[in-house]
Amino acid sequence: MHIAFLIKKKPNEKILFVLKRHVITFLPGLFFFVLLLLIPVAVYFLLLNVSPNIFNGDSIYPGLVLLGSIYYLGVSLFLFSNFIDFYLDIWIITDDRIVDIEQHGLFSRSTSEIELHRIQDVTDSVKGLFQTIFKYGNVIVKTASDTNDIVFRNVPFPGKIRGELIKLARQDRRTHLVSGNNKKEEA
Amino acid sequence: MITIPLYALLFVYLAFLVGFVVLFLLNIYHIVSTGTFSFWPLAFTFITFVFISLVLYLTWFLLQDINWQAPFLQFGSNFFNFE
Repeated sequence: MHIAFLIKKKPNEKILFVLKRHVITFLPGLFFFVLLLLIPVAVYFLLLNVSPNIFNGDSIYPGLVLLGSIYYLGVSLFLFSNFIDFYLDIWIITDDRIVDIEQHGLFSRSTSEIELHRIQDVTDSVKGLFQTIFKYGNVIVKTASDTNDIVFRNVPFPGKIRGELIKLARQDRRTHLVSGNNKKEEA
Repeated sequence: MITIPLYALLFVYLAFLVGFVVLFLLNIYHIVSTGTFSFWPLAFTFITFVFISLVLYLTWFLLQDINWQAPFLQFGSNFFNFE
């Protein structure tokens, strides 16, 4: 994956973590897909029981086949779009900033970023049975601005990520302090 | 009497296919534009492509002997006469 291309990496910037949603969060979509695949089969047997000759009609049969084909193509497109939506939610942590790229459906994508030294608070939350068993959850990164929070949704090991972010924010603040002092001295 | 032949259904199907291809290509575009050429998106694209090919092949297989010139709907003077 060309992460550097995706975030327009600055010179000397190092990419430390690339986070994605936990794979388990895609499974409900997959189960729903399997369920959708089975619906026409159930409808077929139901129709066969209700009216055994329904598929013998010269005009009904091709209509139903085409309808079935449209249905299955639509379902496959639904799953593919769901996967793209899932896969293209990415959070990138570099030694300078956090970049949050979120795909919302097929026609909408948002990208936001915050610099590490602006981080004021990092919270992680693991809620419910699945999140506890599979060790994933949310990490909420807050800055002084009310509007610029970033939420890493359903990422694996949120506790570890919180720890790393706090460490990185502290380091970045120190770097900014030192470079600020150097500039003052030069002036 | 107005007769709508069976092949009219194929035009509806074709219109759907055009929309379908546009949306499928849009998904591919997202993968290409974000540069996410890793294993999973490629594998998923391949599996979806195989599934789509299978559906299209089965559709063709089930419909190959159909006489598309046969009437699908016939509107006559007594079409709306339900007695």
